[in-house]
Amino acid sequence: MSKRKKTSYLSGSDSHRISKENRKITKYLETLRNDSKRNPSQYITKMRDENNIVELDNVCTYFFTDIGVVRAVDGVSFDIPKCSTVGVVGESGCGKSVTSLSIMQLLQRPTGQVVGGEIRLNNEDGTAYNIVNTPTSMMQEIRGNKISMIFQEPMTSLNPVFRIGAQINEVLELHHKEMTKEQIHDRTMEMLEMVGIANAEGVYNMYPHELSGGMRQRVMIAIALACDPKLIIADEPTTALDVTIQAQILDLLRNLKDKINSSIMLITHDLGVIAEMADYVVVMYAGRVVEKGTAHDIFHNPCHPYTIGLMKSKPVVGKQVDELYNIPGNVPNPVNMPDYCYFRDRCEACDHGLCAGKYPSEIRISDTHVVSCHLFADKGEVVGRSQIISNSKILEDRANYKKTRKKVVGDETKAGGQNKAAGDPEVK
Amino acid sequence: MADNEKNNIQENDVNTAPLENVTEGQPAGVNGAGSEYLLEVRNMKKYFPIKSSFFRRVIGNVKAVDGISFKIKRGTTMGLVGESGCGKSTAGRTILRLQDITDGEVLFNGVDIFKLHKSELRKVRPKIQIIFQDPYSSLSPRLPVGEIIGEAVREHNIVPKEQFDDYISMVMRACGLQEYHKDRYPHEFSGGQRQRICIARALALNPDFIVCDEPVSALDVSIQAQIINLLKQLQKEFNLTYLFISHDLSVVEHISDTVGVMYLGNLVEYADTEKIFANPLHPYTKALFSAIPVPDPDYKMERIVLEGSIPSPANPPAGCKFHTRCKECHMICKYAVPEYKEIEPGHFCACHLYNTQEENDKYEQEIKEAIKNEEKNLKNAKKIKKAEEAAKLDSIDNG
Ligand SMILES: Nc1ncnc2c1ncn2[C@@H]1O[C@H](COP(=O)(O)OP(=O)(O)OP(=O)(O)O)[C@@H](O)[C@H]1O
Ligand SMILES: Nc1ncnc2c1ncn2[C@@H]1O[C@H](COP(=O)(O)OP(=O)(O)O)[C@@H](O)[C@H]1O
Ligand code: SF4
Ligand code: SF4
Ligand SMILES: [Mg+2]
Ligand SMILES: [Mg+2]
Repeated sequence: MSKRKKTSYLSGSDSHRISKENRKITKYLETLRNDSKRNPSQYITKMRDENNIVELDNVCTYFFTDIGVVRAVDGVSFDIPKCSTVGVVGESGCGKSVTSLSIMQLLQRPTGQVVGGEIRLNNEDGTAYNIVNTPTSMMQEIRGNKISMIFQEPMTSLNPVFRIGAQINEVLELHHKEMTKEQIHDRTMEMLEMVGIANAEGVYNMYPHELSGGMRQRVMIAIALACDPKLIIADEPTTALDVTIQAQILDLLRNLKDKINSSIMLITHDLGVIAEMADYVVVMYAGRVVEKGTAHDIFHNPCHPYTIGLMKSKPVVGKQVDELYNIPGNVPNPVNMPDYCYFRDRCEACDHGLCAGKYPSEIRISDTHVVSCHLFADKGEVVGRSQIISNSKILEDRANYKKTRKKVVGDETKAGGQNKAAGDPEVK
Repeated sequence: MADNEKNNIQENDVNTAPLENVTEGQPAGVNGAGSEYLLEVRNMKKYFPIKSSFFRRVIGNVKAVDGISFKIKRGTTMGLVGESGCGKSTAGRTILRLQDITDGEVLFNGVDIFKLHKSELRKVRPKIQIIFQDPYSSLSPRLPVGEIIGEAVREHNIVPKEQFDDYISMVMRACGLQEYHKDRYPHEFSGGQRQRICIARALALNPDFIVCDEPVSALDVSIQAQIINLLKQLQKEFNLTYLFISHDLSVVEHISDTVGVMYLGNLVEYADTEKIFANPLHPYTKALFSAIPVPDPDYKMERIVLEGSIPSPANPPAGCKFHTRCKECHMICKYAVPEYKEIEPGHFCACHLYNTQEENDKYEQEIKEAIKNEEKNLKNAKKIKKAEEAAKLDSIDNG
């Protein structure tokens, strides 16, 4: 008993050290975020390709928890082209939701932080925002206007004490200050009708609990679409629904996407839903992208052993098998990831010579298809390498930041003689 | 006839007595009437009363299960599918006698479990088990796993005291759990492992029949596969019979031998799995099956999209309950309830599309009369309305 405790739990001094370091790091990162006088050059950039609406480039989102750093998203790169649907699949806990929350800047702070990489959002005037560094105030404008999100459980994101109409009105008011009350009402009704609610006038005056699950999800979609976003992030939008209602909602999303010319990032663990909806597919495992490509690439030529395992473990109607394939073992502990391929301990295709090395690089095996697995090392060019951002690296940045801050503040004091504080009081 | 049935029950009652010595390795099927069917449900109904908020008077019923009948063969699995709220879980819970039945019979091994006395029921209880959807809330957080699995084993004296520990270890191993898990607590386990604990708890009582109410819906695809394989393997090993409730049709197709489709408290179709998937007859089944997403981007599906959602079971539509959403609805459907009957050998369905000519004629005759009556009523109503309006106009004129 006591033995087990020693190996799997942290000792008191360890956990003390961890939380102290976490406080240091998160405080520093928060100071960066809250810096309202930030120079626009720090968050205005350029898209790599103007045809994309969002580009994720080596995004690292970590949670600084009391048991250690959870590297929930660790060097994730993929593009979301304009007017297309990108599906993200993977087992629960692989970082799908954290990826989407990073794009929305809705992470649970200060524990959760994007510590590296770029998330570029196309501004459609030749410039782009790097969401990672965009100040919170500006982000509020982007949310809803450019990107909006649909969550898995519609009941938790609707306010139970307000009528449906009022909730949609509120969103419109926030984003269209120029519209009159009447215009807003008309637009709300139009939205409700657009998402296929027959009795729009009635639903306008109803409370969320008076609606069925499918209707609530429609209302959520109406809210998400209220401001013509360029990107809709749908995080498991149909997981809580029946097959028949799921079919209705998927139909709706598909039609609306074409109507308002936006892109969808669809997160789900149902490969069937992905096949039906997505143009591009991103397969995630333990916080990293293991394979990405067009839907055709992924479903007709799956390459990564994990993708293949996922496909085999789902029963398919009309294909009788005696026993379902199941991927042996479990997802590795997110606090203590190995430095070799994360899938190695569960992989049946593992080549012990090749796979003994470092985490595999991303290999481009065709124009659209990228895999990170050692088996494909000689099948294409290397396009990306995942690298962990260590605590010491962040602490180093922090020290540099403090130095420059001191210098800036020092200069200011010399020049104006007004600033009394030497150094940033928040960074201690 | 009634006499005959009574005799039967008494005979069966006697036969259920040896239930207690099950650990002797008695093959299932020795008990009861010796029929090949372990479970038979006859016209089962379960209504929940709706009470008025002032006088607590019953003002109506939620007809959660409204007369369903089916049989399950020993050692086989029947899948039960349908939209949320159609009464699947209620049916499962009623079969277990976790709640009272409104009408009908549930014959387990030929014995109506609702006619058993408390002491007799106690003997049958361990034979019928249930596994729930949510492996998180169905395990007590304060008990170690060994105790969770063993509690009922001790209570029902399934094994002698000195064999208890070995027995629990054996059951845990059969369910893919390690022996050292025994003194850990549920929160230390993943979702898939917790579902294994639930399965072990049910299996430890040496049941013949297990109701699996969405046992894999809360789990990841790869974990789902493990649990499904485990259930199948245990079925083979212990000759278990399952009622497998799920809304995931691909899982149901994989695990079931027969499939029943429910809509608003009724079975609308029932057949062997292969038959029903190859040739669904009922328009609802067709729509349901066409909604299954297929993991192939090139697959062009001809989807039948059902409009709206399932009507309230407190106030179901008249005639065929599905007629408000059915693409093939015709005149009779709105008035006459379709009969649930065997259309091909072993293939049951309740839909007017499969009526014989005579049946259609009969229904039409009835409906013509019904419509005549309705028209009459409508005319009368119109007359009354006109008269009222005239009176109103008069009064306005006068005023
Ligand atoms: N204790 C209860 N009191 C009143 N109504 C109930 C009760 N239990 C169930 N119902 C009603 O009976 C109907 C059938 O419920 P049931 O739980 O059997 O559905 P289900 O088919 O299992 O759905 P799901 O797929 O969502 O689990 C529903 O309309 C439900 O609201
Ligand atoms: N607020 C949080 N604090 C600490 N860890 C978190 C938090 N949110 C998510 N994580 C961790 O991040 C990882 C990815 O989670 P998530 O993106 O939600 O997975 P999913 O792919 O199922 O959406 C998991 O290991 C999870 O435990
Ligand atoms: S790199 Fe090796 S261990 Fe990892 S997925 Fe590929 S074959 Fe398997
Ligand atoms: S009876 Fe009529 S309404 Fe009902 S399912 Fe058949 S065709 Fe449709
Ligand atoms: Mg998630
Ligand atoms: Mg249920």
